[in-house]
Amino acid sequence: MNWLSLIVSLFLTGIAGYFIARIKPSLGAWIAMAASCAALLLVLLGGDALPGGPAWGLIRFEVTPLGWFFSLLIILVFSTNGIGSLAAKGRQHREPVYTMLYLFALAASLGVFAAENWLALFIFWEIAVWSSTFAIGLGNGRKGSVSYFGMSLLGSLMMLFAILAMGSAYQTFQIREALTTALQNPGPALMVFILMLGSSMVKLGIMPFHIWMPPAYTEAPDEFAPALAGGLSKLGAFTAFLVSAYLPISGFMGGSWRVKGLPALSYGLVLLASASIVFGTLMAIRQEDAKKLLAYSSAANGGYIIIGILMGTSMSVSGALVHLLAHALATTTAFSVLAVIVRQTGTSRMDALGGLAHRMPLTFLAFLTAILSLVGLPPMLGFVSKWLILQSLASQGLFLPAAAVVFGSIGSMLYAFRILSTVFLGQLKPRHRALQESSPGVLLSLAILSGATMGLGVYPSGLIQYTAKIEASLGMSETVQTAGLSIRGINGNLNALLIMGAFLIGMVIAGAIFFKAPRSRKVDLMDTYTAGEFIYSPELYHYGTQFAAPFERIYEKLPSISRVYAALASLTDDLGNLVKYLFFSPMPSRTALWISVVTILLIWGEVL
Amino acid sequence: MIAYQSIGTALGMALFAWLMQTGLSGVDRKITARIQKRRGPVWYQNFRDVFKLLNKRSVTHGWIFDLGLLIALAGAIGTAMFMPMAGIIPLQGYDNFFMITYLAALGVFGRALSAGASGNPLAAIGVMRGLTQNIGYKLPYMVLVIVLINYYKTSSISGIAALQQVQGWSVLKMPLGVLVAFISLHGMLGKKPFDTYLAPSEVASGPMVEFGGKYLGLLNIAHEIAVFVEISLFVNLFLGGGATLAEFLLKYMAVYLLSSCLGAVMGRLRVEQVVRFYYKVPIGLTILQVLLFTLLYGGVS
Amino acid sequence: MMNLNPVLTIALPLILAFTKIMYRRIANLFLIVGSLINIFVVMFLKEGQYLMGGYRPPFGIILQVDTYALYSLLVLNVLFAALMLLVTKKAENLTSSSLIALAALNGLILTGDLFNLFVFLEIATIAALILVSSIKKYHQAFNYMVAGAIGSTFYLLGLGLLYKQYGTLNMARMHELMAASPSGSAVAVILIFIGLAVEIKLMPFSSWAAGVLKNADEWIGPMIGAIYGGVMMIVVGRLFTDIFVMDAKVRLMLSLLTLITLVGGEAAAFQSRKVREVLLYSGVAQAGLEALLILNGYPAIGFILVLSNMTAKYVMFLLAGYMAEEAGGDDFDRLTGVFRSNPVHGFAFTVAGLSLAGLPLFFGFIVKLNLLYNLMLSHSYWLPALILSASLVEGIYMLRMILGLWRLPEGHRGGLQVRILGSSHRRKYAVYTISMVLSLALILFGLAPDNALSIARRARGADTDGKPLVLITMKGGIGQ
Repeated sequence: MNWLSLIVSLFLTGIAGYFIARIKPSLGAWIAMAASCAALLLVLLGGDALPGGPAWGLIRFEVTPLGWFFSLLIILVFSTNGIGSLAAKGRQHREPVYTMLYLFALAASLGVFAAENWLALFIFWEIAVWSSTFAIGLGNGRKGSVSYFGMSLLGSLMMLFAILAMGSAYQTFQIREALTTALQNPGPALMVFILMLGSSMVKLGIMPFHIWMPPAYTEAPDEFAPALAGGLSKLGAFTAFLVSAYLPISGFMGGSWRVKGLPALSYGLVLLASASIVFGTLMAIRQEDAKKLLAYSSAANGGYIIIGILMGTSMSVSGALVHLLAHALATTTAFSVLAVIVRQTGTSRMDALGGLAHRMPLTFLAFLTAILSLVGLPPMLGFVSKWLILQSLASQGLFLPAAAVVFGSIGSMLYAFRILSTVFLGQLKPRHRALQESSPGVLLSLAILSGATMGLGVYPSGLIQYTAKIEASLGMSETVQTAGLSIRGINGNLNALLIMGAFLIGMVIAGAIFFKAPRSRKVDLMDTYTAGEFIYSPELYHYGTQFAAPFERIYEKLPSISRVYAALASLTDDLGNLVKYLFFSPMPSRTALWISVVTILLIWGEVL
Repeated sequence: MIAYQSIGTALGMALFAWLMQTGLSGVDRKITARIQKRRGPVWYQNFRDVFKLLNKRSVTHGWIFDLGLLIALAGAIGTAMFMPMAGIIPLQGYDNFFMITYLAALGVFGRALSAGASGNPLAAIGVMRGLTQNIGYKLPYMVLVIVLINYYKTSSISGIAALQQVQGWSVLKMPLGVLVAFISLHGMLGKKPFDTYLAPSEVASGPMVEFGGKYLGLLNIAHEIAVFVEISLFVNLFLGGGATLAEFLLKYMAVYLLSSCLGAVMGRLRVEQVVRFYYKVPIGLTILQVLLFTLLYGGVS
Repeated sequence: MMNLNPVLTIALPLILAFTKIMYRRIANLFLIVGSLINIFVVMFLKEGQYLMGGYRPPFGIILQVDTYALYSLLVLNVLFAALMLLVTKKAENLTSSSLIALAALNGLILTGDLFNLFVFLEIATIAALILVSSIKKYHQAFNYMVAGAIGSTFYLLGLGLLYKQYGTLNMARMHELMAASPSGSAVAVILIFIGLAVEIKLMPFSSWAAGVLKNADEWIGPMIGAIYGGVMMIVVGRLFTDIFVMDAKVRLMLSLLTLITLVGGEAAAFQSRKVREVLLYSGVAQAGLEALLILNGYPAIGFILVLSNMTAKYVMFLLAGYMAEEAGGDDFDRLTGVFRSNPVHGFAFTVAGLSLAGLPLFFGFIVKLNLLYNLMLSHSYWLPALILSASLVEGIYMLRMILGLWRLPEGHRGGLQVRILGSSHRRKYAVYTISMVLSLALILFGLAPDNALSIARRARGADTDGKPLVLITMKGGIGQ
């Protein structure tokens, strides 16, 4: 088995899946699940020694540790999501074409991660873009898929430009060769770097490019949103790793200004990513829709990844890789849970929900692990990555980005608690009394995802060793070190198992006191202290709207970036209108006039 | 490998933390009362309260209500187990600042979870207020500590404290910063004027509204340990820790009692005022301090 | 191996067009058989020069069959014949003009004589006029007539000037003479360009296209929007690559015109909310790009871009015409979700649209890739950046349209009731077949483009500056 045959068979399964699902719609989900699980097995068993397979023209594969890491991540997301979507009865999910698009997106992503040259990478990248665009389009709403495609296209065209600039300047499209040649002959190196990183930022939803995320995540079919948020948006990080490893800014702008040891350009980009963290966090806090909240939090989390990549130290790069995985696992979990909720209640507006934890406790626990990981609390994987990134920021003395990271972490407590409190805690609405716990398939996928989040959070050494291997394969001189169970940082060590141990000891003590004390009586949720107020209904007794109002008021005038894009679109519209008015009028006389004017101008220009 | 002995030390530290801080908070009540021209309870009243509460029957709002509280206490105990004090370093080599902050945050999150699970909107409002303030005081505080970590080249709390014994206290290097850190600490301790999230007359004690009996007792324990962690952090990071245990405890008490006295004479701010205050004064001072510090001590290149 | 004379491709439709008058009953059969025979003839053409009337060039009229003409003819005749399969009663009256149009278009591609080209141009325009008047929008047809007349006049004027200067109408001879002494020919070249610009829909001159194509049915759309536009562009490619010699200033001025067309066309398409309008304005923009490439010395890329756009546009206009006819209009709102009940049409339309927008897996991507790469090789970054920006706009409106046509309307459960072509089985299956075959061809060429690319290179070998054309192929990577 090799990579080429894996990808080709995924594509073919997708096509076959379409026709089978046309005959029997319920089989579509099973095919998507089975194919992605088989791919997971294969990639896991094959490891990063899996051969790329024969070259098929430009389409050549080469499995690298980085590519393998990303592939495993995305297949994990797709296969668990596939398991979780089995029981979905949604209309969109049962479209035959959904199976095809789902597997196309997966196969194309795998193609991106193992591509040997930029052109192959770009081809698969674009296939992933349009297949996911159509998958989003199967959902409700009009804006999501178009803005996703528009922004993705902007990103891919930036990348295409960079690829062709390298290809034309250095006569090679081989990924590593092209970038390292650019390092030695820095003609268009700066342009290539900016464009490549720009395209990554679009995909990751870094600030000026984040506008596609909220509508796309909200409008995508509920079963596709986890794959999109957890898997496909991570494509951007892959090229960012490649570019910053083989074409580091310090390599082609070495002599220029430096801030805190970073080249000024890196520092500027780090600041941009920091702005994305702050902005994403602020926006997430004031959302009323759970999916939008998570979308903005993704924009913020993309910032951590970019900061980690751009700092370029062994710890920060490792932190970025771990954060990528942590965020992928957490968002996939969160969106899968939201899919369950939307399927049962028909809404993802937070104030319309509440108290669901009492109806679906296991789902709640999975969601809790995801949220804790998003906030970056131990013993979850998100903590390990934040620790690594903060350590490297502190040791580099990048205080401004560090402040942004800290703000993002603390601010995430606010929105994380908000989503927990308004969706799962608080009053259960009477109309939601009949809600069911998630189906076994969903629970299995949630168990895998949150098990990974927690397991790797407690025992990250193996993962860190693998990130060290990735760093070595990217040619970094230093790699992140582990010693026994602990990660060796620059100015401190982290032993996640020890933290978990201390926490568990605390838990034992707390539990001992708790169970030693007299048993308490269970009362209804409405049976609470109301300070003398009358309460009428659970609906009115749930605090869910404008949750952080005192805080939101401070920045209610924050300008929206999507307005810039809207202005650009309406500008294009106006131009189109003008063109139509001037040049496409139904009056032949006007055409004749234009012909004469242009002729005179041209001939005049020539005679002069 | 971590020896059993150090785990024993760590547990001892947690127990000591609770005992000392509960006693101190009794003293605090006494002082507050005296400032307000009352007699006040005896200094060990808080121990009485906790044991009384733990023995009372109470009501629960479901298993998340219970679980959140357990997480809160476990987080607090776990954090205290890592906290170095003078020369006593329970888990040598792992008293990392970020680790302690995030583990403490887990405790806070547990408390919030439990409060939210009570179903009482007043609790949710209180948590929201608390977390909003949390952004206000944690942000400058952590930035200042990151500056220190960068300066001392270690993120180990005992390491930073030890270096201050040699190089002089951080307070001398960043006076503004310590002021900010103290304001932040005052907020973290939930003292007036920053106790909007408790505000009995507005949100009926906020997060704690539904806690009674053993729940309140456990919460009390968790709170006292968390206070210990916060003040110890401040002492270790900014006031040079302590060469001896006595020195450390002296500084500890001074900080705590200063905060108490200030709290006793202040009125409560409204929530908007708190938020605006934090986003203006401490953050502004922090920026100034970081700039000054960078100019004076950080190698600007 | 047979060796047929290319004049057959012109003569045969003409003869059929006139004999048809005697056999009205089987007129449609004439049309279909005639166009099919034409494909057959094209397949057996051999490259070379064919003299008409026995005079030696440059005095006699010659037909020139090179790779360029051969493959243009092949695509043209196949597309044309496919369209003829769709003839209905409505088109019966148009049999003669269709056949004449075919003859004229073939002539335009084959002729080696500039005056002859004018004659074919006139015939093609008049035939098109009759075809266009079938949609009963006489005002628009009148517009077209006026514009076409102005265009031909300009062409003739320019040609007259050239004849006066060089004394020949033979293309090859004209090229030799012009290359020897190009000065003084600029005005004539500009006039000829403007004359043809009307036909290829460059911007200030193309208001007729909006009128005609906005209302085009499934027949006129592909015919005028795709086939005519494509053939005219092939003619431009011939004249401005092989024949005329321009100095840098003229080239720049004309390029400016094409750039304005590119930008303006994309903006107009972006603004449009009707399927056919989007297609027609995007066609205008594409024409600008094609002409830009031809003028600036990338004829091979221009050629292959013309062919790929022609095919994609053909499919899209065909389906858009049908949809508009069935749904009684083609604004997006009315057609929302139409592909749900017509997935085959939807598939073909989508493939063509994605190819047009230049997305991978489809032929359009390969073309765009090579286009940009060759532009970059000559160290120009601004032009690729501009083209990519236009692509961005194009991609957005194309996908917005396609997604809209796939999406179920709000609150709609189950499929939409609009069925495309519930009426006639023959037409229905013909549309299925044609659109499927063509869209699959776009995928096939997208996956294995190497032959198509090497044909383009053979057809338009080196560019005008003598630089070799570098191609990125799927098989071999970069090659010369």
